[in-house]
Amino acid sequence: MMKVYKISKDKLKAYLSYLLNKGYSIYGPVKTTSGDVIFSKIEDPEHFVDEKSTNGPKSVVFPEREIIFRYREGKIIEEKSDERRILFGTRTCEIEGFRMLDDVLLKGKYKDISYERKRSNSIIVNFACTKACKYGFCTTFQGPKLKNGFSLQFIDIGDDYLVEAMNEELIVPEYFTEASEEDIKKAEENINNVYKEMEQLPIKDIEKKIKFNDEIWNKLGNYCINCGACNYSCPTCFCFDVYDVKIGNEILRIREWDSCLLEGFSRLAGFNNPRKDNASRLIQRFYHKLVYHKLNYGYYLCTGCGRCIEQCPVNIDIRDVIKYFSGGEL
Amino acid sequence: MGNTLNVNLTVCPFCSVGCSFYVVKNDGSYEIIPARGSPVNEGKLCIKGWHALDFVLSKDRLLKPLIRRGNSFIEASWNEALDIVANKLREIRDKYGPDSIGFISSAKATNEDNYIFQKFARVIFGTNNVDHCARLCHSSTVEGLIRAFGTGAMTFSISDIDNADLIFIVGSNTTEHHPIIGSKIINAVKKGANLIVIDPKLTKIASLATIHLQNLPGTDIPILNAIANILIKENYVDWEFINHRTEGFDEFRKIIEKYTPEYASKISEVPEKQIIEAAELYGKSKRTIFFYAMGVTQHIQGTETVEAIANLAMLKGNVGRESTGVGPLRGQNNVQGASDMGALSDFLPGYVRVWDSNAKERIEKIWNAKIPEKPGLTVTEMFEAALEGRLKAMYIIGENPVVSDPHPELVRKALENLEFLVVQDLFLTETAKYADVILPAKSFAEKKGTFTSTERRIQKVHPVVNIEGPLEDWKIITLLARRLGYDWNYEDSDDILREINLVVPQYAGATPERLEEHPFGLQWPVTRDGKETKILHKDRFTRGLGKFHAVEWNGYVETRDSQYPFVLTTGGIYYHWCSGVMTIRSHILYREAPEAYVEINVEDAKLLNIKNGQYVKVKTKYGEVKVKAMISEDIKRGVLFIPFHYSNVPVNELIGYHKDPISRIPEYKVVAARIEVI
Repeated sequence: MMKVYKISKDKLKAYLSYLLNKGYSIYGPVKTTSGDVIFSKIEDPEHFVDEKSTNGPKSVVFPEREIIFRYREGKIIEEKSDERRILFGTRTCEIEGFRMLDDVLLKGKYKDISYERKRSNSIIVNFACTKACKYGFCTTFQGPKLKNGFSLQFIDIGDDYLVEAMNEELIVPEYFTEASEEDIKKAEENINNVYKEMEQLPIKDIEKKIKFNDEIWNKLGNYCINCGACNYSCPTCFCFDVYDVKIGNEILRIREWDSCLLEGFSRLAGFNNPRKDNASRLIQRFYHKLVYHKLNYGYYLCTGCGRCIEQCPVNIDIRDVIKYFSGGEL
Repeated sequence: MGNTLNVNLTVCPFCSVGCSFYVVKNDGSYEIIPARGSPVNEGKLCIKGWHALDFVLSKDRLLKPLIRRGNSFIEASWNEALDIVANKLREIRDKYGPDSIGFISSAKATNEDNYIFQKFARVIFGTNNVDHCARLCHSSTVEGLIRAFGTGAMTFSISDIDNADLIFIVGSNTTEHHPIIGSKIINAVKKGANLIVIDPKLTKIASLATIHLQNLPGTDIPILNAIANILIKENYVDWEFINHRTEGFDEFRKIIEKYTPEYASKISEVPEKQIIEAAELYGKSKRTIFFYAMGVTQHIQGTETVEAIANLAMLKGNVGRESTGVGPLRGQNNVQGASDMGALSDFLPGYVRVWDSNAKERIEKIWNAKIPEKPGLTVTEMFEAALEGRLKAMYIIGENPVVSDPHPELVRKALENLEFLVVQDLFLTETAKYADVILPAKSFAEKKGTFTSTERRIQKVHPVVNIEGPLEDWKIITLLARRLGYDWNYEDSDDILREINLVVPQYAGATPERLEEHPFGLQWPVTRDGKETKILHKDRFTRGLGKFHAVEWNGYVETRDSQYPFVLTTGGIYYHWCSGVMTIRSHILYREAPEAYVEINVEDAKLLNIKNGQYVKVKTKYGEVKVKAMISEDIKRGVLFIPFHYSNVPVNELIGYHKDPISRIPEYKVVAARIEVI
């Protein structure tokens, strides 16, 4: 049963210090002196900021590149991850992505043990957004607030945060007090503001409206420069490549994020490729997000974080694609 | 950056655009995050940028100095290795004289590394035999733009692209080699800007062009002159600008009269009508930006082609105003900086000519040394000298001439001919295999220092990865200097930058402190009080008046004939970098482009009965390679293209011996060739 507390903003850094002293590794958004917000390990609570980061927390549980196991003298040695982690200050679009990754990587016939290792010891302290961000469109999907999948969820209500607690693991009476009905109402209002500020996209039945044969794919394909950013920045992309590296008498099996916009992603033996051009690769990406995953899992593989829009060098915009197939112009 | 943060800022080590990114270390793995705050990349990166740490973290990194023992190498301590290098270099200098040693610096190293290395050559060894790969990519830019404008660098800023109404590209595959600039051009075109591209290949950027002039390689000058001719005839020119800001116009005008569209069309194989249309489009545009790259510079008339572009820009007053100008797209991440630092055989730091005794006196005072007046040997001349036995030792930092220079077979012989060779690198490269001592260097990701991008932006990098063993290039040189009896006390790259602030006027105000305050850099010239310069030549050209050059096309040095009916041209591709050393060590980048190919037009292939993927031989007068054929509709008929990244298809063995007489850049882009089915 979920309980509701509140914490004064003044106490936030002290609370973070407390958690650090308890031996947790804390990961969260920090502000660099050059002004960017980056999700990284936090050693000093002063660095924490309540802002959406450029990268988000995916790489903490699913790194860009990781060793799956080592092979030495006929034995497989599994990697370990003993860190007790708190991902502090995540955004709803990011943790909703975790839920989708869980469905694919943990709930099928085979479990992805590398992912499970890091995912299972990561406690989530989510910060629901109370302001619309520039490229985000989360209200088209789950919205700015999580329903579950967290330990604590913070919602900005002015001088305090309202705190929803799924469990008492991180609740310390010294920092948390009871929340009033008024606080809860204020939190709801603030969340509703995001719905008011953000454009809702015509997502309904998009899987039926989208077309394989359409000029839009060639048009966007002409612009795409195959940088991979839409995949690398996405909280829901899970494709990877696997390869071995030999160092001395040890072999490392490594996996690395892959990108479906790259030619080599779907290249077959003899350099045949069913997705030879950018247009067909863009179809793959958008169909995976808006059609295939819906058919297989019942929901769209997108949380509306807007990172693929922000990081695309040539401004290919999933919002435009959704609107276009719902009868809009491009 | 605060030290306690687990995130640090650095600059991409590949091309010269100067994109910033952060690196985060999480529980043993690294993540690259593009910097939103950077005015250059604005939170975006290309595929190479996203994979910029792959080679850094490669298992192949050299961690300890290596010393030759017969045909193999043994590991040595730094003390041991440095003693050998210092003693041997001293011995050779004393025995054969200062000019018996050649120093090749690196456009991948920082400004501080380059500055120290050229000072090492000039002050301690008393030779101007110091050069770097700008000689092979943009020495013609340095010469051409200094002659035309007075400064050998991009005249505007990357952000100027946004508001240009015409972007005019000559010989640059922009989306592959400078992808973030390429993407900005794409975005400008989407917003309505016009785009003219001169290129023998239908590149991605050419496919988006308003007009694509698909010419034969090496025929840019006649096209550029013909456009100038039309502009003057149709009175599209800015007379006020020409009269008040330039000189040499009349002579130029006389020369170009014979460059009619018809004449240019005959040489270049571009339809006359297209040349006229391009001239009209340019004539009617108000703010034009010119970009060019190695398709212009790597020619026997490289310098003159640069001058021809400068002519065209000046005709319409397209220099010194916002969203106008001439933009060389430099190759390496720090080739601008390495040139600024005087890692060139004829220039001291800040582009002071080595023979200009008045100007160099200031530097001699700071260095407390006399600098020889005789220009040194260039990169390619060093190998010629080594072959002839005039050069006895070489010290090469971060370059792989056995793959990247013309005629690798001669480079190999030259290296074998040396009495002593030091190679300082990250990897045991094809070149390092010839060394007597190999010194392991830190990569960009492990050190502090500054890089200067193609838009003259001086940016500070910070260590983002820690690898035990290698040292900074400047540190290694400093340790050697001390062994050679010089009291060099640089403790930190900032100490060197402070000296650069004194020596190089363009860098006067780019102090270590100021660059910390401006994490995304300052564009030179930076005045002593910290004012940067977005646009050069605003009210006057650096040289006073802009100079029109009466540039003529000299005809092909290599004529196609029945025996060699194709023009072979070389270049790079999106996923790789230079001699491939950095990018073949990235799993994804290598996977994307694992092997070399020769691109041939579909009609030509049909005539020769060549099938896609089939092995063929490409032959020139100078050599031959075996390579897979790639049949394409994008390349002009009669032209072949082979990428230069692959050491197993050494295309540089196929090119000729011709050089631009002004900049001494080799002709990489035009050689008569034939293709044979095996």
